[in-house]
Amino acid sequence: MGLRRLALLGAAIVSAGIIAATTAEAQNEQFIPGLVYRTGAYAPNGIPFADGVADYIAMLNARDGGINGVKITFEECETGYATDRGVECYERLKGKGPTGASYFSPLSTGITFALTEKAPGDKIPLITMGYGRADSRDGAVFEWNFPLLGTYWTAANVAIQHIAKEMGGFDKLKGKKIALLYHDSPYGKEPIAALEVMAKKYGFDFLPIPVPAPGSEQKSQWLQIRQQKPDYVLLWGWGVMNSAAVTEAGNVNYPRDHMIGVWWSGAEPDVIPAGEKAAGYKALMLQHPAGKFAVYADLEKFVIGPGKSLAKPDEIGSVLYNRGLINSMLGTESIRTAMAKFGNKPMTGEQVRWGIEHLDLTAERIKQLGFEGMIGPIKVSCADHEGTRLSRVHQWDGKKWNIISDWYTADDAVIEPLVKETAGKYATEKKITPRDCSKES
Amino acid sequence: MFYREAGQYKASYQSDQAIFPIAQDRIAMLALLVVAFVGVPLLASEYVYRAVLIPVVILSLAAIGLNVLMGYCGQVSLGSGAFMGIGAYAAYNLAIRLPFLNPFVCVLLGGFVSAAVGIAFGVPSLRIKGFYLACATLAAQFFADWAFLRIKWITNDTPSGSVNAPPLQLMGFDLSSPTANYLVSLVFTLVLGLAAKNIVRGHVGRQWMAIRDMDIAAEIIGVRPMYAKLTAFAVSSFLIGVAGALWAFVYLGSWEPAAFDIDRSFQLMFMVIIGGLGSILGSVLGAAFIVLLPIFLNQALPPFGALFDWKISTATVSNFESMIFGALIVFFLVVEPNGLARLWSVAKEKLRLWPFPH
Amino acid sequence: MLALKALPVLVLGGFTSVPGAIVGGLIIGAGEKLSEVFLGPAMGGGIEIWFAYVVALLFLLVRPQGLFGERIIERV
Repeated sequence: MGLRRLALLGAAIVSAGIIAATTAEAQNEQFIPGLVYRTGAYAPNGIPFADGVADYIAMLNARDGGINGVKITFEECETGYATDRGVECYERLKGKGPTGASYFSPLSTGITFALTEKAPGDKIPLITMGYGRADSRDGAVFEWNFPLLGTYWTAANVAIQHIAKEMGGFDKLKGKKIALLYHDSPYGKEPIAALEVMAKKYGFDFLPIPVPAPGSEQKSQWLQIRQQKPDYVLLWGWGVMNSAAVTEAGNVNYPRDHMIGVWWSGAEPDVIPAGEKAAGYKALMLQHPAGKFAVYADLEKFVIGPGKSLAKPDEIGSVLYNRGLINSMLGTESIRTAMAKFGNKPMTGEQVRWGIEHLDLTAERIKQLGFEGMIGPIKVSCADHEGTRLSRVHQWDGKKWNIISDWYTADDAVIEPLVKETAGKYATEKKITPRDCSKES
Repeated sequence: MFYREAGQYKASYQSDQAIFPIAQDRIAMLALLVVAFVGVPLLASEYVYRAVLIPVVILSLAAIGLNVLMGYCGQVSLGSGAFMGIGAYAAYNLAIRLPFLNPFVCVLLGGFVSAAVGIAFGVPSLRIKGFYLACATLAAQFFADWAFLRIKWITNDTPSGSVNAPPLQLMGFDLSSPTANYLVSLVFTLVLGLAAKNIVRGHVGRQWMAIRDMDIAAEIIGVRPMYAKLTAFAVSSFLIGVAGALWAFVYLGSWEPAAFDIDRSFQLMFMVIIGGLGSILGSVLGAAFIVLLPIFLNQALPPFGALFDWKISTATVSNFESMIFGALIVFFLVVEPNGLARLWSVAKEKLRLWPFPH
Repeated sequence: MLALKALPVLVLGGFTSVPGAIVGGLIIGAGEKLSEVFLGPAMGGGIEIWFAYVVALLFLLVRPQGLFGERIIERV
């Protein structure tokens, strides 16, 4: 009897705590949700990104009191990179705040695919910066998806451009073998369509090698690579798969400087576990490098200094932390753009979508925000939800990342027809009539 | 006092064999149906539909299917995620390639495809049992995982491997609102659950239970093991396949093969074990428990921590979920191996006496 | 989910024998990786996730006691 009474008392306390802890909603607040994964096989890369996202928003609140006087409320929800948990988090957070969620950035291509079905009905935009559906750059069909800064087809094209440059020209690609070591999920399979098109165009052999999720066991894949001897290996992994790939490359003695990773395979957690074996490994950049830039002055003053940052000291200034900062910056600047048209009050999802579609960051504005050197100008439009098609390559030397190339612009002659084709297919499947971008304001 | 059946006489075999012989049970069930069909649509919010009700309803159907196999027929199966996936992809392919078929007809046909594959993978059960069968069903699970990723025809040649369900409609009525989704899943679960309950009460169900309890003795007294085991696999895979197709079409809308991987199989197995093997009600209770527990922990832990001035991050909540989950499973297996269904029947027994002491 | 791989190893070696477990482990481990390298490309790659389990399934159908185990006799 005593134990039961104790259990009932405990339940009563917990319920009281829940009721007491829920406060009344303030009215002048902009709610931004954060879908993060701090646990699971992908946590090593998810944590620094989530910290960057949270810290930039904390800085805006502390320094400016929010966006144009509207305070930002931010809440995280753990998805563990699982699609069904991501959908549950989305459902829980989409209605929070006086005007609902501003935008969602799931940091997972799988969750993006699921939310692409739900977001148009709920009228909430998805900012899938550097990931998501590659064909969602076509804003006429994908009204609510924004793959800002780059898609996987852009990445694939830039990687091939860099390989061509290293070999001395596109004509040298003929007859060469390029392998794609990819994570066996929608994320890893996205670039295959573009690479097949380019293989046909430039005459190289394309060899796709899948790695079953989560990707920590890759011995047989690298045995295959040692057998087939491709000239270059493109790495399209995430989480533990990246560090395992670099380590295995060292074990089979594949020249690391002939490995080029996508921008999600080119961060510190991917190379540091491999130790010395990682030296020479190259990766694409989602425009920005590692390192501290002008915005860090305010970050140090308002967030990191007072100890409000969630990040550990060695994370600050890393590639993925910077990427998180940029994600929040693009989101909040879109809200600011929307407020310029609709007024300085909390924005609804629809208004934020308008803001993202009309986002136009010039080099001057980027310098004002403190992101000079991190990203170039970006101009989003109805037809182009990507905004820009630049990328560069950096190389790990064992201690840090060094930028080794100039800016590449992705070749739209290759990508554009593919986008039209797949976006059109999606539109017919889903019975969507594409918007007429010339009529959009 | 209220639950006594004194004065309730049965005048025909039919009334004696009813699923709910006691009148109070019938009234309670009727009230529950009224609440489920009328009360919930009036009161529930969209979040409650999408995060709680629809998953519980669809996963209870899957758990009923797995209970038929594991609880009533005693065949261990770790491949239930794969069968859900087979049902989902079969329904998707039928809907895409035969667009004149209604999506719900495709869901049922997907169940039949899943039943056929279930029979194929159930053939080894004639030679192996128990633990060994778990290994064979694991082979089915991982092979299905691979097939969904590699065989392009299954995913209609999409470059990413992710597929979208067709829009749900019935005779021109659009059924994509949360309330409609919930009601559709509820109808499927109720009808198929009732069918399952009647099958397990009939002679096929008794054959299954004989095989479960002592299969060699059952064969000696005349139960055909091949017929019993293969029908168990067929019925179970049909129910799980329909649940999988509903999960994909109604709940997810757009999915990739990872939605039906080994974690889903384990989740269904935990539902069945915690709910109670060999009980249809147990499957429903287990499904509700497994779906609600993470959500409850997610909502309850941060305010609980706030009471002690302890800020709990989302990572901690997630890890706590795993810990508490594992501890609860061990607790259930030790304290009440027959699961929540047994707790419920014990409660009903106590209710018969209440408020009197004896 | 590495621990699940132990099941095919035991099935191959025989549940009652320790040398069987060792031999089974070597066969499954090497067989998995080699099948991926040689049979994998013909089947599109990625077969190592199910190779061990399918081998175990075939063993169960043909020789359920494994390579070194005792014959299983059931009594009623």
